[in-house]
Amino acid sequence: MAAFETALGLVFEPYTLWMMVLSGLFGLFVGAMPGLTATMATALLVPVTFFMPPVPAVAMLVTATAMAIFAGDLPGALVRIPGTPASAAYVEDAHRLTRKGRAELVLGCGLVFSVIGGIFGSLVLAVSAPILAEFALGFSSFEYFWLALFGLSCAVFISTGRPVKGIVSVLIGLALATVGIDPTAGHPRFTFGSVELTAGVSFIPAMIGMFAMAEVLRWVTSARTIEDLAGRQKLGNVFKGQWQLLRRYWPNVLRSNVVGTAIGVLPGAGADIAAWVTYALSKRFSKEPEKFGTGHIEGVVDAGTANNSALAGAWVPALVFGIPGDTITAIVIGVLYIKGMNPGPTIMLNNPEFLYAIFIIFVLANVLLLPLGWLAIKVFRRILAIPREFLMPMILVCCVVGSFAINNSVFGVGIMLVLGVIGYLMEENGFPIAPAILGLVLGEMIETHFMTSMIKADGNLLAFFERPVSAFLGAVTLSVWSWVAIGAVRRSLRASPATTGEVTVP
Amino acid sequence: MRIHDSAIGVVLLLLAAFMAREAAGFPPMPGQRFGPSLVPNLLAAGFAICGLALVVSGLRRREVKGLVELGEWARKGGHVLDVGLVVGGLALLILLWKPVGFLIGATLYTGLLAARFRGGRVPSSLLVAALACFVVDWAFRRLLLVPLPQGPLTGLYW
Repeated sequence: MAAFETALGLVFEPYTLWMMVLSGLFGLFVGAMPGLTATMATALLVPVTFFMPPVPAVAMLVTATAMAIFAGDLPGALVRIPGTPASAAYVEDAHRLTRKGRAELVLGCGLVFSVIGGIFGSLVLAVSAPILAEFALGFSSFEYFWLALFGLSCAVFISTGRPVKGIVSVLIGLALATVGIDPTAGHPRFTFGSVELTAGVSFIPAMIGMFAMAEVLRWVTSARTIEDLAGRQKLGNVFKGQWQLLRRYWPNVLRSNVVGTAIGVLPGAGADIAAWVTYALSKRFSKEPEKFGTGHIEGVVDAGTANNSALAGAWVPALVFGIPGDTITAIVIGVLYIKGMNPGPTIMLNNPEFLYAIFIIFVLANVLLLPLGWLAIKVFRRILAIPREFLMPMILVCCVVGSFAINNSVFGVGIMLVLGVIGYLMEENGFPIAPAILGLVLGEMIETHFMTSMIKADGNLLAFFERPVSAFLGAVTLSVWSWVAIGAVRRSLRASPATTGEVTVP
Repeated sequence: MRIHDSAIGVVLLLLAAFMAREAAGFPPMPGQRFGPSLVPNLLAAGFAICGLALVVSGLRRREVKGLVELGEWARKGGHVLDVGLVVGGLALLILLWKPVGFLIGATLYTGLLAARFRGGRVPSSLLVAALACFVVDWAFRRLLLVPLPQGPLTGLYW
């Protein structure tokens, strides 16, 4: 109880509250800008958090992401470009509703159900994290190795596109993580005589490059035009009609909360996947599935709830095991390490007040979403009016400063540039970015636990299955790989006759 | 910019060969049969398998004509040059980081890029860029104590 009181004191300090409001406005701005993502908002905030105590730093990141995920609905509804990938699933319905003159209803729905989803996810985080942390105290290097590998496997196989490209992406991340002093023997690897590289590839510049710099390059190579409905819409009371929606669709809201949080908890899957899955479920169980995609609010209610509940869910594995639930928590884990708040089961023993502070911050950020989100809806037209021709170069400057600030070295800027170009090329060619980032973040952890386990077992691989939890996690991970491998072989066998046909028929 | 899957596969095979060759030079851990080369070797094997899979699938699918396909955007006036300016300009900013300093370098970089994206209007673009970079410089140097280089302006402002 004393820890909870301390946490309340830490969160309700004026400095922390101000930082939450400022980062909330920043998150709303980034989310409302088509093409800029919640992950990018988090990555750009990291250098600002370097110089803060842990609680305000984490409060900034949590608030910015919650706001950005909601704000992604605004350009989705008004200009038919999802502000963040998490709003992509229901952009067609949201935009068509706006075209029918129901912008008020759809934007209010995005706001209210984001808050409901966010608070539900926060409560699940608050209840499950301490229980899981206690259970995880008995874990050894074997369990951690399988858990981290399972997280990477999920990131590979849940990502869209071909599994082989997801595997290449994760291998790139893991390979980048091998650069520098090796964690068990202390031997320098792939450093090419560079003193800077002996410390490894710092993942903050890597992340800024792969998400923010790559996004700027995508904009430069795009059509750079948007269809604007914002100027033609009159927005009155956005809360009108929301209670009726909640009464009508409460089973959907409940289902989306549970599914969204569960997907968030799954390592490697985040808000965007939660939105797609719950939208599909909504259509599958709807009484009016034929209306989906034509301007129907049901899918917006479901997916809008799920993407915010997944945000808090992703923090469960991040805090309890130190394994990120999505790309946002991958960044947060880095920040926690920088702050000396090493995530893992012992966080509950060593820093219980910090854990409680995170729970309070989550609830508070989602409550704050109501007034700030309402404000964002009202001023969205002005946000959209900021010329992208100025904004994109300024984002590049923020990328440069952020990458420099991590070690006060221009080497970080170089890493950001190189990985920005690589990230752009990867996405253009169907290689998902998220597995590479998770590989980079988890690489050292996986190698350390793998090598420690190998030394303990004297090289006997069967030892990885001797402990019950380790055997279970190993079996689950290997099942995922087998399932995907069998699927790939089947697809290949089915495709073979067709391919042969294409070649032989003139 | 789309690259032929087979070409990407060949690059991955070369990367695998390079990693394996480098890893061969890592010493084993005392008293163990394995050492710092174990994980790089496993990753090299992964790259080799995926590289082979991409070479084969690339030859079967042939989704990209030729080795590289630039896409629709490359046909629009100056988009290729824009990409070159973003990447090349940033490389130049890194090279001239200390002698030119952040404020001058970043103002020129963002101002000229903005002018290019707006189709001219250099003075107004440079003015807006200078103001924005000044705010960034103030926030990071003054508030967050990040030692951004000042170049020729050293000692002239905070």
